[in-house]
Formats: sequence, structure tokens, C-alpha cells
Amino acid sequence: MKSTSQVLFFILAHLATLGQEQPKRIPAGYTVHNVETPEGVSFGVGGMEFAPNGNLFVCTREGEVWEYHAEKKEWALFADGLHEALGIWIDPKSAEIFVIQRPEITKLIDTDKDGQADLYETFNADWGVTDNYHEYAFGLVRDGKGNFYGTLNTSLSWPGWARSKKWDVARVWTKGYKDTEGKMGRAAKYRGWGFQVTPQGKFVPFASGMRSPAGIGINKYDELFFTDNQGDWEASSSLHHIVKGRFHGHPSSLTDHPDYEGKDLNAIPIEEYEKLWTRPAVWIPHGELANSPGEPIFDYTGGKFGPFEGQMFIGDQSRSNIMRVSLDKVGGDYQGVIFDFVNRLQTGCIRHVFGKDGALWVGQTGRGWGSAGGKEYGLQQVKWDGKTTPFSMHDVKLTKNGFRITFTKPADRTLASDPANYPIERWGYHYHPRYGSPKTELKRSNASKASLSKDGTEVLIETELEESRVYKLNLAAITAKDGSKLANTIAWYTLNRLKD
Amino acid sequence: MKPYLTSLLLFLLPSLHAKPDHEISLGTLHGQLRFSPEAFAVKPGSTVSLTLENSDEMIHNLILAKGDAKSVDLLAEAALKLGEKGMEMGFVPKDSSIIASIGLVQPGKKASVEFKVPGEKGDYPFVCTFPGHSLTMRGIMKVVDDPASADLSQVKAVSANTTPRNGVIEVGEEPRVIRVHVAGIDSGRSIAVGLPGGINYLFDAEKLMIRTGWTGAFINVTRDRRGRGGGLCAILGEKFGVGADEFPLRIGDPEKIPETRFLGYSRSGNPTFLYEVNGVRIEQTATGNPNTKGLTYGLRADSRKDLYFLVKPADGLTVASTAGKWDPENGYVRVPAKEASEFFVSIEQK
Repeated sequence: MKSTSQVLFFILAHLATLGQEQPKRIPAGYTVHNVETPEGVSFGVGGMEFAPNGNLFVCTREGEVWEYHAEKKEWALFADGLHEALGIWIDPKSAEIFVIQRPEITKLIDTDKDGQADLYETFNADWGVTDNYHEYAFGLVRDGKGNFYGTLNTSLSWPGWARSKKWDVARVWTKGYKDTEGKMGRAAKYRGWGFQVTPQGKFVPFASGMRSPAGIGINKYDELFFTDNQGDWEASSSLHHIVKGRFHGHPSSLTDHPDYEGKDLNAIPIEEYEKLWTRPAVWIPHGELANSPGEPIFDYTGGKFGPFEGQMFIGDQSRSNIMRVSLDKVGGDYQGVIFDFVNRLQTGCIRHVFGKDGALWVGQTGRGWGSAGGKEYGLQQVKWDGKTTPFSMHDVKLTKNGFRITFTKPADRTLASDPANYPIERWGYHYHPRYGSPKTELKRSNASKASLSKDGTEVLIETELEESRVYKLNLAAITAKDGSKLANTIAWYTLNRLKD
Repeated sequence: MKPYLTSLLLFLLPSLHAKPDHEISLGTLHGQLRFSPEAFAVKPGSTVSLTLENSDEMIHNLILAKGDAKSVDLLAEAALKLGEKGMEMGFVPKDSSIIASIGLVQPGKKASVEFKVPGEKGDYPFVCTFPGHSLTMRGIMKVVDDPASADLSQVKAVSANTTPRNGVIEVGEEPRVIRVHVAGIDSGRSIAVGLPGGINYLFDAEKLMIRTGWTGAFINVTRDRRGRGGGLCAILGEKFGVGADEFPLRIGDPEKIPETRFLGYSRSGNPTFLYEVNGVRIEQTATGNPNTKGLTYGLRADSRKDLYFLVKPADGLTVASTAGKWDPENGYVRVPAKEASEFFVSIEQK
């Protein structure tokens, strides 16, 4: 019985790959492949990690943990009954498995080695959680010293949506500012915080001001990043660099900050919050590029995923796309550029992991907020063929009087040397209690100068530079020397600080 | 003629018929929301006497219909929509697909229906449409030329999904442990436990206490799995009180509220909750009896001080312990330290 279904499964999986529909936007050399999820199982991916034995573990919004034997293409249930598990971390040496779920970080132990966890050990549960649906706990990453990090969603506090006043706690500036209707608050301890849990299991509140911090990532230097979603106090979706003590913009979390203990957050002027605020490293323009970004992940595949080693990839739930980020350290802190990379996949992309072969596995859910891809859940891989160099903007870096754009291969000299082929928009955002922000002080111009390097892979453009702006560079007119079109025609560069 | 009346008349007038070609008897599995067996085979155009013997403690019905799993879903939905009239109509909706039906059968009772099998060969589903039962209480009538040699072992009327789309979590032979938010229980850290045999309880990992017990079907998690999730889920059975309005353990001093910490739970065998009380590690299990609506706590503690197990309010409850003594005046069982390594406290409705 089992062998028959395995054979059938193999055939179906194979057929699915051959007939795979490819996204409209995808760089040359890249393809998308479906991975069959367990039959009949609602499989909203909340976290993915490879175990030392090469098997993929996936935790789901439905509270299950599944183990995937990649070669046999077989799924086995490892754990269930968790409460919306939105992150997993597996020790690359000891194979210990940790998941983050709404109420806690849990270590899942298979004591009798039968392939299923039987001991659900609470590693840390020191944050507050109520039965408010929006109090998600996201994760899970661990640094080189063994500290875990995760992020805690604010509570949905507006009684009109939450249908109860019991969560209406710490909504800030919902009155006295025109047209505000702040939805999110803090109905339990440390909602809106990023946290650290030490190897000994101690909870350390780490950074505040988060709203819907649906994904956290870490680079090889143990630097932490999280994405947030547009909403009250959040002008647009965004990527932030977490540093201990930072305030990322949403004030409800300050309720649990020692400096604000007992203070009326509504009596503090908005300007004061703005001064406290660390701007996002990268704005992800809402509606243009993404609406609800998930987990950031860094490409350390050593070139197996193409020419973007060291850059960051972020999926988006509603747009169902994958974006690519290159960070730029200016004035001691990160800002940077974001591109649309693959658009779009079958449903919302919120979790990512690279396989040993360099394939990017994309964990998906479309449930609850809708997703352009349309499917309710799924798992897909984005693979590079190992040889084709797509024509892409590889990077955009700030210079003293403009930007240095690098290409993955030589650009057409005539087109790339014409400043008129670099139309630029720039704008700012309001910092305010309202839900999202329109673009402010939108200006349009062309580059004043464009000089292409000898080898054709680098262009220096000059333009007027302003701080606290998003620069949108549109390179649709530029083709490669070999005639191929750009895979990504637009670069959105967040300019927080000018170069000295 | 209205189908449910047809079946009623057939039920009332069996003597008018000759002996049916097939006499089929179906049972119910106690506390598991399953028919047993879940398949039978009959000849096209034959006559059948079908009996439902309800050995479960819950009320069930049975509807046999033309169609597939999806049309059974629709029948169940139609039954649910009967609302107040449901009980009166035995949760049998009016629907042309129905071949035969048996109305509500009380626990321990049985009822029969006689009907003529359709002439067309194939699979005909049957289902219990009592609200909350239809996902798992399903079966298949196979209409074949040679019923005696039909292979019924492969019939899967109930999918083996761990997360069924319509959200009813079934307890089979193994206990289920699921974290959910439950309507009526104000906690962000609720853990629902369903034990085989139709006894269930809710452990609150924040207050470290059992908040309620219930008999019958386990839980419907639809509101946690639909849309944005995190919704308040429904306990499906009949709740009963367990005499806990606060964390029930005290160490050394019955008046002094201890420091506690949740450590997790084991799912080896009966689910065991692990926590610390003033540094003393406690292991707690629970078993129960659906008939007496009672829970028995199993507790293990390595304590140098006496333990107090509080039952409050104890009105209407019978309390007994295998160690120490129930003190109804103070509302606690005092367990001497040397007997605390393992003891059981049972709490039942009077």
C-alpha cells in the first residue's frame, strides 16, 4: 500500500516539476519548483530549518512540525498541537529542535527515538500573551553566543475590530490627532518588543517599537534584522536593523520600557517619539513592492544561488513575491537598496531557507490576509541553473553626489551613458499615528550625469541628494550589451544619511 | 413523500415486509465519534434492515444518502441549519439525496430502518448529522453484485488528516494535546487534552491548573485555523467543574501562594504536565470517568514539606485522595511530604 502511493507520489511530483508554470518576473537562469506538501494537510508554513541529517523540518501555523526526507520525498509528522508555530531553529551539531509558538519557545525532544517528539519542554515563556488573535510570536534565530531572538506582535486593541474592550490597552495618540484610528496596542507584557533569550533561558527585552514584526533574520556577523508591516505609526512596510535598546517606531511597546513606567503615553508629543525613533534601514514601499513582508534571509550559498552572495532575500505574504536587498553602511549604520526579484509565486511567501545545493526554499501561507498568488498554503523552491548570468542591477550604493549602480554583466554603452535613461523619483514619509503614510514631497528628475565603467558593469550617476528619502531609480530603458533586458528595472534606495 | 417520514413509516411497519435480504447492524465507538464498522456491502435493489446500536454516551443519528463526501458535508450543514427544529427533526434535513435515515438514538438505545437499495452499483455514504459529529462519524454502503466477497478493509470514509478542514479534532486511541484559545476560558496559554474514551480537560499553562473538564467529543479548532487564526475555539462536549478557582497546590503552608514555573509536558502515554512550585518539581496527569463526570489527578512531587491540594469551591463535589486526608472545612487535601512522591486526588460530581 505504502510503496504504491510512494511511486505515485514520485510520479506526480516529477510531473509537477516538468509542467511548472514560471512567474512573470524571474531572472534568467532561475526557475521555480513546487514541493508537494503532505496530502490533505493544511500547511501554512511558519518556519523552516534543515537538520544535520539533511532533512527539512517545517513548522506550521496549524501547530504541527513535519519532517521532509528530501530524497524520498516523504513527509512524517514530528510534533503537533502547538499554537501557531511561526519559527524553528535546529542546532547544526546536536540537532536539538526549538520552535517558537504564541505562548513560548519550546524544545521538542524525541526521547524514545521513534521519530515523534514526546517531550515538549518550555524553554522560555516570559512574555505576556492573551487570547487576542494578533499576539503572534515570530522567530527564531540564534547568534554565535547561543542567544535566541524573536519578535512579538502588538495586540489588536481597537474594540471595533477586536469585538472586546478587554484588549484596549496602550493605544497611543488615538485621540487629538486628526483622522487617527490606531488599531494596535499592548494587552500583555512585551507586546511590540524584540527579545533575546540567553543560553540559560533568561528573557531579555531587547528592542521596542515593533508593530507586526513578521520576520527576523541574522547575518554571519550576528547582526539582526526584522521586517514590519505598514499600519498605525508605520508609514510603509519596512526592514529594520535591530540593535539593543532601539525604538523602532510604534509607541505601545514603551509601556514596558523602564523609562516610561507609569507614564501616560498619550501625553507625550509625537515629535518626542519621532526623535526616539530609529528609521528603517530599508523602506519597502507599500503597494508598489510589498504589503506584508516576512522573514529576511542572507545568501551564504557561496555562489550556488547565483551572483548575489551576501545579499538578503525577503518574501511578502500579500504580493507573493521575493525581494532582494543589498545593504549599504553609511555614517555607521545600515541603509540600502531593495529590488523585486521573483514575482510572483503561488501564494504568500513568509519563510525561507537555503538548501545545501543552493536552492531557496520558500515557505508559504496565504491565509488571513489574502495573497496575490491565490493558493492557501504551499512550499516552493527557487533554483539557479549554476551557469546563466541574468542581466540584473546587482547593487546600488550611495556616493557623495549620486549612486553607483553595478550590473551582473556589461550594460549597453550608449543607453547606460545617457543620463535621460535614469528617471528618478524621491519622496519621504510622515511619522504619525495614522495607518500608513502617503508619499510626501514627491520630486521627479533625471540623473544629471551618467558614466559607465570601462567594463560596462558599473555606472556612476549624479543627482541631487536629500536625507530621509526613498530614491526610486527606474532603469527600464537600459539593456545589456548582449541585448538582454533587465530582470529588475527598478531600484528603491532608502537614503537615511548622506555620505560624509 | 418526505424522506424522513418514509423512513419513519418503514420503521413503524417492519412487519408488513418480508424478511429483508440483508440485516446490518452498526455500533458507535465510545467517545470517539466513529461508527463501527464504517462500511458494509449489499446487493443492488435488495432490501436492508439497518440497525444503529448506540453504545456511546452521546446522542447520534444516521443518514444514508446518494452522493460523495462533499454532499455529506452539505447534508451536515443543512442539519445544522435546522437550528431549534433540529432536535425535533432528529437533525435529518429534508433532502432528495437521502435514501434512509434513523433519527436521534439515545445513549444505550438502538433503532432500525428498512429500505430498498438503489439499483445502481457504487458507494453510498452514511453520516451522523448531530451537530459536530459529521466529520468523523461517516461510513460507506457499498452496492456490489457479490457483497460477501467485497473488500471493506480499504474503505476510508473518514480521512486520516491530522488537521481536518472543518476543524473537529478527533481523539482516537491516543490522547490529543492541543494548544488553543477556548471560548469562555480567559487565558493565552490554554492546552486542551483529549483522552481516549470521551474525557477531556483544559490545562492552563499560565495559572498551572485545570480550568474545566468535559465529556464527549473533543474540540473544534476551526476558529484557530480559519482566516487569521487565533480565534476562540469551541469545546464540543458537556463541561463539568473540577473545583479549581486558583492554582491548587501549596507547599508547607496552605495560605502562602507559591512561586511557580511551567516546564512543559510529556506526551509519553498519558499526557503529563511538568512544573515547579517553590523549586519543587511536580508531575501531573489526569484521568477521568465520563459517567461520573470526574477527574482524577495523579501527582508526583519530591517535596520535603507537606503538600496541600486545594479544591475550591468543593460544593457538589466528592473528593478523595490516596494519600493524606480530605479536609472539607479547609477545602484541601493535606499530603504528608513522605507520601507526596505519588498520590491521586479524585474529584467527582456528587
